[in-house]
Amino acid sequence: MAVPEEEMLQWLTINESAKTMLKRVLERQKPSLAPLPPLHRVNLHGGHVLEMAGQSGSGKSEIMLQAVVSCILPKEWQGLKLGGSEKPAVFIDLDCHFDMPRLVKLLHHRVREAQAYKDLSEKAAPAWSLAMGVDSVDELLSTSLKRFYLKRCFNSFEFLVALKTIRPLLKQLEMEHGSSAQLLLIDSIGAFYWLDRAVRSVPTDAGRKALSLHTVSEAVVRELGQLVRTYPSLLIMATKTIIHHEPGKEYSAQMGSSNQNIDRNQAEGNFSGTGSAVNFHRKQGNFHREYMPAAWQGFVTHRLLLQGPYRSGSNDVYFTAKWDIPPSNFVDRFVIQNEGIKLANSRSM
Amino acid sequence: MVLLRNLGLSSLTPSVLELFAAQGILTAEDFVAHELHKVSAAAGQRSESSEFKEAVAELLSYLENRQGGWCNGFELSQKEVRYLPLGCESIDNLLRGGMQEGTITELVGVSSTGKTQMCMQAAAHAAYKLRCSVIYIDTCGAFSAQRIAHMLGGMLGSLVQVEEQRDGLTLAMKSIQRRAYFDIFSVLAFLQDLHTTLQACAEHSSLRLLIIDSISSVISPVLGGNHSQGHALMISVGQILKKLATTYKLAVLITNHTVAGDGGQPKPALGGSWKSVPHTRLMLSHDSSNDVYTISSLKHTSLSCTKQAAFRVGRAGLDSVVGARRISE
Repeated sequence: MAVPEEEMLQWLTINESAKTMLKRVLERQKPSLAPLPPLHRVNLHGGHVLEMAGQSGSGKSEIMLQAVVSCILPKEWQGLKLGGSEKPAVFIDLDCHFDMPRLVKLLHHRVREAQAYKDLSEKAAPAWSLAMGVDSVDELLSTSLKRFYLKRCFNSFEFLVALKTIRPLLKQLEMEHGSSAQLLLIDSIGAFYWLDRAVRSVPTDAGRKALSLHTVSEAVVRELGQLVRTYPSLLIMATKTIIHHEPGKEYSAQMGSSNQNIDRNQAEGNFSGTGSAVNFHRKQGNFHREYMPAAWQGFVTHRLLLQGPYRSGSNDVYFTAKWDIPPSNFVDRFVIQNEGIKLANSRSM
Repeated sequence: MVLLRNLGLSSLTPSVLELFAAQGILTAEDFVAHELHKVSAAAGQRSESSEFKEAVAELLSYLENRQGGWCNGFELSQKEVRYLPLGCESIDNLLRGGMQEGTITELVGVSSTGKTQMCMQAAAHAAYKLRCSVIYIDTCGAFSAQRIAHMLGGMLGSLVQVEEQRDGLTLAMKSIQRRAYFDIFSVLAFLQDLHTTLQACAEHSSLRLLIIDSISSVISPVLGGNHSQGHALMISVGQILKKLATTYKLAVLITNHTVAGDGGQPKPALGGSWKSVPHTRLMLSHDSSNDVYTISSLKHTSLSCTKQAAFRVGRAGLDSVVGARRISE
């Protein structure tokens, strides 16, 4: 990837002491987010590119929303430990599935849960609700939501325009909020795969680039790479919907009681935690078959595979997560509740 | 593709255009796919950097304005979310008020599980009770104006009332626009036209509901084989539906039939890549022994997948059935 000359020179002329260097490196290594299941096993920080791959409905967007909540809420507020990082987050919605009321609801739940925790630890009477009125919670939420920016794109062209116009926004956020954006979320990266793939067959004039799959992904990776170089604390999270999968499999998992046992067996067979990664993939059939162009594949530093929903018992719906990059054999089981994502490993451990 | 020189931007002077052309940038598409600093380096050599920077800035803001810029979360959260009820209590309760405007709701079910009945019920209720216009794209000839008339009559109850409300009913019937298309190309063409029409007069439009019954019967024929064109067509339909729904705050209701999946279990005909299109997916089933139809959610952003609602299909529309759980067991 070409680096602008001035950027290269700047890099070469840096002359820092070991102390400042250590400080700079350690600063970067600091995890970007508070431990957020199921992302808690890996230390994600600025400069990383996380891809969450899974079928539609496997909890990808929910994890993104939770990440947004953790990013934009403050760490502490009126004595409540909210565990956020009080940093701006930027969301590019390519799937048009972003649900604003849901985000607001999750923020409310996070505040309420922190309050309940505090009450419990202080054994205080719920007198707080008098002191802390609805108005002040609304104020907290509105200041938090002001750190959040969203852009909807309906095709790759708009996506590229968004990436070209994101710099002024990040600069503005840095000025307004005193810190640069911590999260850039893309939901989902393969949204225009079929459209861009079809473009290949459209003839164009010689020397001109049509927005084919490869042109687009190269341009996307280039723009994102440059962004990460300018903002080293920026963590990129993208979802990828799996489109080549065993037909019928995910569906039967949702069909309810009659298939329940089979599904559980399947899930446990695949996710017992004892099988090797190779085994996992073989048993999964073509569960995760890469379709994104090489440029994007090379850009991803972390990949989490998600599956679900599975039914256990009558009403419990759970999901599973497994790290693909860095490879891990451990499979986390999690449930999605209004209060957030909770690990539910007890049964399998 | 639009040529840069045809955009009519003042900062795109002949010398800047020449500079772009030297890098192979002739259209807006070329512009967004190119590395700008390469061009700016070339501009620097020719001491035209300031002129070039100005052109890039103007071009970017032009493109951004054309497609809408970044939205602040706080402003977005202040926007009201509206629901379009179907007029059947149990279903509306399941959906917490009805179909959310700006999203796509999909009905899945085997033949004769009430998909079309639900579409017509939604159309009748929206047209008469909510006084908005409805577009009904009928791809399998199942639409029946008479059935809608019965449903409207059922909303009033007695024949006397029907006579009294004749004008209102006529108006409601007129505000349902039925379109019969039998292939994906005409559906796509119509949706594109609709987008163009709404773009021109979005604020005067009373259109709040778009129904396609069924979407799968026009898409399935183009899928299959090793060709990706079919998939591209399918995703194009999905994209234009999403665009219409989110841009003009329409409630979009589509139906998807089922095919036999693993072990004979029915599964949606459009699965896989299509599944990312609808925001809400509802599964319909029918118990012929007691004539009760059940509806459960397969996919929803904030609804648990375990809830159910039940209804009966009567002469006057859908009647809600309470105590669904007992019946389904």
